[in-house]
Amino acid sequence: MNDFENELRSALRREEPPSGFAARVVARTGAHAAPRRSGWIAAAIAACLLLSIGGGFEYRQYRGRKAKRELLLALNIAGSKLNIVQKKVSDLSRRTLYE
Amino acid sequence: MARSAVGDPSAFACIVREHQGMVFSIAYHFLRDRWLAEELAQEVFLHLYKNLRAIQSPSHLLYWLRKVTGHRCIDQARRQKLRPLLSLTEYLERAPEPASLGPVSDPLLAGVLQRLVARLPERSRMIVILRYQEDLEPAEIAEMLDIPLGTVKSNLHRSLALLRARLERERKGTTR
Repeated sequence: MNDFENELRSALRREEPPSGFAARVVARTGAHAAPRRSGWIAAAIAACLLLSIGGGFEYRQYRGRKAKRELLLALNIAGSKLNIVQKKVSDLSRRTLYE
Repeated sequence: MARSAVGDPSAFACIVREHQGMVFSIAYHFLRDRWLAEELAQEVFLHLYKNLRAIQSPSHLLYWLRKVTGHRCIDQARRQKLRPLLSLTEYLERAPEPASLGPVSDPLLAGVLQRLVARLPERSRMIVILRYQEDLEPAEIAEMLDIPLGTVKSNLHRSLALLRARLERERKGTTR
């Protein structure tokens, strides 16, 4: 290594950055972590929305099934009542014919 | 390192403090702008923070930091051309930066050399900085910058000749 290279080495020696450098970097890592946190929040909100949409859909299905069951029950009741009425009407007409 | 990899800010701050001089100096000697150098150094450490799990050992960390800083400096210089450099007369009219003072035999000569290095083409400049600031062997520089060893050696040889010639010219210019 000659004198010129030694001068070059001296000229290019390491220097420390302005004070507070490490603290500024660490602060920026926090700033970088924030979007990650907000990403989690966004994911949680999206999950809630999906659940509520899915839940709403399922609830509507449930109500539809319940209404169908109630309608079938009402038709059954109405049918049996009609049968009774029909039977009474036929009994009455038979009795009228024999008398 | 393991502690900082799991998000311990104080452990990461220790890593930053240990290597900040190296990263900042490579950037500063390359860009010759303290603000830009700090910005670039911060970006390098933020990139490290995101990639801490990939770092296997302290020597790997050192290699990683030098490599990323070197490549980022070259990219930065290619994106943004440096401001016009001062002549030696203009340089003498300005007070030297306090950070330039230190255990150098001739602070003025150090300033001139730093300025001359900053005028080298991007790749040659980084080779000179890694060789004389970081004391790296040409083979290590070649691996770090992904270029052939022969290119590093010839580049170093040409850069030294150019720096000598320019320094000589500057000296003659001031003695007139």
